[in-house]
Amino acid sequence: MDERTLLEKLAFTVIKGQVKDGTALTQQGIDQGINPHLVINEGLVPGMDVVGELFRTNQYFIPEVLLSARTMNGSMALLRPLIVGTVTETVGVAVVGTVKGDIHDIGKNLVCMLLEAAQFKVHNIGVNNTPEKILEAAETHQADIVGLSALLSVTMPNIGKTVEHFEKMGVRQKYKIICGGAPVTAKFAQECGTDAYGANAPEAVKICRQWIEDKRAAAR
Amino acid sequence: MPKTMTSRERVKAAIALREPDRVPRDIWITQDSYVALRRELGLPPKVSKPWDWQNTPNAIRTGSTTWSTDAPVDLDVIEKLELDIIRIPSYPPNGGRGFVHRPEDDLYVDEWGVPHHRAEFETGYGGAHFEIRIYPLAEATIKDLDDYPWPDPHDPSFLGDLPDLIPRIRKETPYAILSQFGRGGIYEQGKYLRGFEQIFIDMAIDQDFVHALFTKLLDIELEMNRVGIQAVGKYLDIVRLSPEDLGTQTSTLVSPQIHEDLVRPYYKRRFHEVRRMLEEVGNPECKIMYHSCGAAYPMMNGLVEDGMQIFDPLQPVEVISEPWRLKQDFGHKIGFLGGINVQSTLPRGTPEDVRQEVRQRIKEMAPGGGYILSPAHRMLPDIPFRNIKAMYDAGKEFGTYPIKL
Repeated sequence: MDERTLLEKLAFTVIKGQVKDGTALTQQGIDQGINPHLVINEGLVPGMDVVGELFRTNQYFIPEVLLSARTMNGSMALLRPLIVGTVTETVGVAVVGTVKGDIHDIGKNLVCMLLEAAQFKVHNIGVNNTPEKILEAAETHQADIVGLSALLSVTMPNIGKTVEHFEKMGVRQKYKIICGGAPVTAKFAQECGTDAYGANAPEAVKICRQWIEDKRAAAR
Repeated sequence: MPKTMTSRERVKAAIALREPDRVPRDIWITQDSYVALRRELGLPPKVSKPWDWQNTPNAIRTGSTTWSTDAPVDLDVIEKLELDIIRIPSYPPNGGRGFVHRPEDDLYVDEWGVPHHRAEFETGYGGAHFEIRIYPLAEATIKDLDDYPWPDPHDPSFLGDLPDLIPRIRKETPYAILSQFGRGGIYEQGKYLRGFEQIFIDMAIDQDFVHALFTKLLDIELEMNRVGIQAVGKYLDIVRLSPEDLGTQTSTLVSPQIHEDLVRPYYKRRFHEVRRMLEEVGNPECKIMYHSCGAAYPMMNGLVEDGMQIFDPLQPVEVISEPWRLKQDFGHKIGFLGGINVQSTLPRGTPEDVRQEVRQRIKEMAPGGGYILSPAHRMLPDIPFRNIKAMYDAGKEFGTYPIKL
């Protein structure tokens, strides 16, 4: 199979959530000597982009997205060892967690999956995170982006408290902070002092990508 | 139409899709918020301890441990707030005790064997919620389902004193009675036992497992309803099935096709059998209420066709499932309960914001009957008393028929 056909077929397995076929095609690509970065950036990533768009427009739902993410992960497990030590196309580093008092994580995990699929290095720090713990993770992993999630109206003020803590410690400007979760709104996100609100997972990824592009443009 | 109706007459008219004298009012509240509400109303204090309520003086009685934080609201609150419905759930199994606290890992095990973590909200409002920490069937196969220690619907603790209590409430109070005997549901309990991610994966690639699990859960749900309805069904005005959630904030969780293939057949059988149970106890007028959060519009047609008569909690989501759209498309067939936003207006709005939302909801939902004013989910401790009061005051201000808004 020529390179272009294989990459297109691989993207298709991601879109369709065909885990086995995706892994097999990835292995075939590796055996054929296709550059692993090309497999990722022109096979898997465009496939997940389509999935994100289908999800955003209510044509895909949670089961389909989960299967696509699993397909992508299956392929990445084969590719990752091959790109260790090479100049990778990691887009940026994100630390993502649910805030203190809240242990809901479905939506937050979806955001992590889609960020990973978009080639972010994602540190999913789980649920019930104090502002201190979130800051520590951001510093340790040298994050570009901090993602904060809350499902409950009662716990969403902890998004604001986390931002305050970043400010208090004098590191707020180092990070872009995005938040989301069922009761969270764009207005609330703004009032809390975050930089953005992700209405859904693909939207959040889109915003994070844009930030990284802006950051790179500014650095040039 | 009589000039003023009793609460029960009012609710019955509304859910029969006729205009009563005024829009009926209901409440749904967590135990922590209920403690505060009683304080604000100047009523005798109660405490929340759903893992040891039987041995705790003035404890709120625990209904379910699946949704542990709900408070069955007492008559004194209903009188004081001039509400129209009393919700009477069944009791937990095993002598009616609630959660079983497991000191070794500090988790609270519910009646399905699901361990929960008790998380303090820690935002200054006080209170806590119980969230699932371990999904016991996460790695189960179809065969494992036979060996799982399922709840026994014939455990006498579920009914407890309801066979005496419910007829007495019916005789001695003017309120409409809403009961729920199901304690987990089908799709919902499937998520709780299997895990959210795994059940969605199952729905995509292991439909045999989903059918086996849902068959089991439907049998339990039906048997629980049968036991409850046979005992007290003839006194009820509304029977609420175990709540299920179909929607996110902007869409459904699964595609309409997956829902049609894997979920709807079980719902349909549940509606039909519960309907038959109510007819068998001579109470065909009792309405069947079904709950889903989120934007469930794409599934509404099937729910209505299969036998849903009241939809709660009418979450005022902004896309697809707006209340006015549901009223417009389904209001000639079903009633609605809920509708006042617990995600923004009630916790964060001013009393005037609440008043305006109630006005809007009554304007779009109440004409022709079929609407019961209530918060759009259980009220958490972040909702200030002034807004709860504003909600019911506005219900009084705008809710008199004929609605002229």
